[in-house]
Amino acid sequence: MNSNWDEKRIRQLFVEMSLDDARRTPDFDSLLEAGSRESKSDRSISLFALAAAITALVLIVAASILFPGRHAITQLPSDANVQPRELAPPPEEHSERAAVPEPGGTITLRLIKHRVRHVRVQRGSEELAIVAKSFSDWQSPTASLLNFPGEDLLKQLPRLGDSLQTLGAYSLDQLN
Amino acid sequence: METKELRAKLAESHASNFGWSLACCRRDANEAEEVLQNVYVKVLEGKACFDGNASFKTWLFAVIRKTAADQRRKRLLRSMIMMRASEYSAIQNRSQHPEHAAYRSEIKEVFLRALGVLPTRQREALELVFYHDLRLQEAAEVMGVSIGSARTHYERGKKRLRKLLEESEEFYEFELGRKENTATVR
Repeated sequence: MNSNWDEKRIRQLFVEMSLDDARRTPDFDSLLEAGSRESKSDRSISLFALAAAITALVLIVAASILFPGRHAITQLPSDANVQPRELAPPPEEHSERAAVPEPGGTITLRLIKHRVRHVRVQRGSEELAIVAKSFSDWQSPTASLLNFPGEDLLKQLPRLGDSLQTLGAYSLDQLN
Repeated sequence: METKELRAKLAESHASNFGWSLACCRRDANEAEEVLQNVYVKVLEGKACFDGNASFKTWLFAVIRKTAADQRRKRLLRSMIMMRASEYSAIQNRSQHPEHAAYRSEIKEVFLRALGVLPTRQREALELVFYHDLRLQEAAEVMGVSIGSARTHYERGKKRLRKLLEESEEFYEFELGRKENTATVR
């Protein structure tokens, strides 16, 4: 089998194959029609999905804006003796302004922006204060076991020439 | 290019397009039809724009090739295990598939099987050159490779196809019966 024969034979086989393929080629118009129909239905499905996603997003945003307090309260520990509102007082003028509804009872974009900003600031400072307080107040459960009677005497040093009565008055820090 | 003009061009090369689509879809007619459908919609809706850098046929073939690859990837992602199993069985039972009933003669069966065994790039190069009468430069453009690489795939594909055809007993016997001079066949 030489190279020339190869090419001729392969070409012939491909030609036979193309003839068979041509016999089962679908009609151009019907193929195109089906394609455009499918494309339209796909587009309508994707539009519907987009609309549903946008609606869900709007509902979530609206819910988080209209009911911001509920989440913050559930986040606070029940035994915390800190008053978050005392630590981070909200900007009163903002809240007053925000509380005033527009004529007609509709919630304006301004009001929403104010509330969002206020809630963000409030939540941030409250959480920070709680965490800081809990860190500084923390003691291990066995901390009391490290204390013993007469512990103060070990932290003091007597000075030469002082009477025994006054010795106890000087601490190690004063001598240094 | 206007829609009418595009439509006319697509209709003109429809049979050839389907042939190439078949080649890109491992000769699965249903898949090839789906791919071609998507390609036509893409082209007519302007999602795939002909920029005029290559010939229309070359460009369209490249679009078909890419669309077929995308579709295959999507299917694989959708049902990786199922798809693999069905693809495997499709390849195994290719000769028994009703879609391939046209290839009844032994020689065609052997040829199709040999083509299926070839690596994708080699098969593509051979199909573009022999089936679609493209030059190697054009085939390289469709395949998205350099002309040197396309030539390598083409040469290797030819060699391998010849070897596969020679190895096939059915093919050999057929050729023996057909040719007067059996020595030239060998």
